Amino acid sequence: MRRAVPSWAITALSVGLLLAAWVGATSGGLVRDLFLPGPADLWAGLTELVEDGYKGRTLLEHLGMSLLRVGAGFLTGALAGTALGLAMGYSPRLDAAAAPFIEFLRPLPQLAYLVLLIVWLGIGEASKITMLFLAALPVAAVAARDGVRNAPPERQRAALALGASRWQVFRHVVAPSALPEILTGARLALGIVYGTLIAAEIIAGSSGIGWMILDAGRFLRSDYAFVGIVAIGLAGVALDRLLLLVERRVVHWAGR
Amino acid sequence: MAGSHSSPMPNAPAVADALPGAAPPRARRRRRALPPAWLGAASVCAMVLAWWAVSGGRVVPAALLPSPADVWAAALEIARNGYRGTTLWGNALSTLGRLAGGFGLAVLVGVPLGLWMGGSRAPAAALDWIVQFLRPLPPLSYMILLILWLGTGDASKTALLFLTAFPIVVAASAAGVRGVKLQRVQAARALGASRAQVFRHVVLPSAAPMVFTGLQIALAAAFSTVVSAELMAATDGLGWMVISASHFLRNDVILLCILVLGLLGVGLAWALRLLDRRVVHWRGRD
Repeated sequence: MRRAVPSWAITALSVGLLLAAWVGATSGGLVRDLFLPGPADLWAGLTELVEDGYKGRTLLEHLGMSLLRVGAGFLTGALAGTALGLAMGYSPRLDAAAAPFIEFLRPLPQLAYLVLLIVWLGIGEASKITMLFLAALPVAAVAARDGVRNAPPERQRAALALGASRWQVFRHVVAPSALPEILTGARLALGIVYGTLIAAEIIAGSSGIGWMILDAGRFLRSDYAFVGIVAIGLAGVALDRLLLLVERRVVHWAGR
Repeated sequence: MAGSHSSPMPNAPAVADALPGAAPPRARRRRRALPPAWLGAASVCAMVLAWWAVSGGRVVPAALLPSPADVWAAALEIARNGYRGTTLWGNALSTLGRLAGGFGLAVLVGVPLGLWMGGSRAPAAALDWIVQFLRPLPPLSYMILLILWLGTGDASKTALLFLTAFPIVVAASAAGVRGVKLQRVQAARALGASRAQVFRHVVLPSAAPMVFTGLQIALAAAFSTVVSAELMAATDGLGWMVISASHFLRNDVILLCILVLGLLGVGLAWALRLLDRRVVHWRGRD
């Protein structure tokens, strides 16, 4: 194998090329800053957003409101979905009865039923959090159901044969082997909830980071929009890493 | 060959799932009064009956929750007269057409690029950071920029769907190639296979299941995104129909669209699973 250029150098070169193209295009007057703000505009936009804020709230406050909504919808939806999924994993009848709804809800674009939820619950927080709840529920339920189903039957039978009660089998055999799958499902659900909330704030919001981007875009403040997009990306990665950290600590036995 | 890979234990639940006769022992202990397929149909019927019972002004005002009969009447009326100059079919087709355009482009570009990035170091080092940056970004967040650059027409929507599906497809394809067992490649090389033959007969079959998994995830994401984009800025499509119906408080039309969207989503997932089973029928038999 030839080892002429190390990988990090190629990555650095590629990042550098793109940055140079950006600086060149924006400072040379090739693109109007309306369409693509330059580095200086972006920095100015960031300091303005952090210090003065956008329409009454700073960048961090907008981001915080979005994350609160994500937290409320994700926690309720993931908990309810996990409980439902555990029950579905244990009872084939409940699984058969609930599966059509779960399978229908899972691929349904969340924003389509947001419109209906707004009619029912108003344009405030209740409709958004209900939508996030419904977005997280089927994903968590399917993960928990599959986790219970994939728990090795030999071990369950062995535990039962050794005199364990059904609760003890659940506590010491089924739960430990289902937990990695449940937490993987939770990470998937969190990603979906986060993306959905941003979309919801764009369609129907008056605060939050998603709304800020849309509003800034409408007023052609693309520097604010860019800063908002980068903030959304970073917050999304941070959320995912946080859950990954929890996953590694809680289910340190996964994969063994 | 008595390593952990050849032991039948890790695959046991998957096998039990695949065989309809082989129910897991827990289920077998309890006697089943009804086959689960009937139970599913019964629970759907019960839900529709419950909907019927509370809707149409009996418990909830008809304006908030139209009854199944209202939704059916709306479906018939739209089938006969159309909805504001468009038809349900026409709107469903424009949604699916946008989806096919953006997703198709992402597959055409993303799969070869991902396979290439998985196989050689230089393109992976040059492009992986872009994919890793795009992947966690919610697509709707940059929609406003795409509208600013490309206008409100179909170009911005195709670009949005492309950018939604592209990083997922690339990452899955690259991971598929990286997961190919080195021994197989070396064995094929030792037996005199050319680089093209190794790719065609070893790398591609091993990576294909992963690529298909990526396609399924990407299609689901793109489907959700296309409806959101239509809610935001469009003059046709099912998403536009939902938002337009909401302006006129036509909850029956909204419910109809949600039912159609749900069935479309289930249908798309089912079609791709079927394709998966036919094309990569060797999945899981490693």
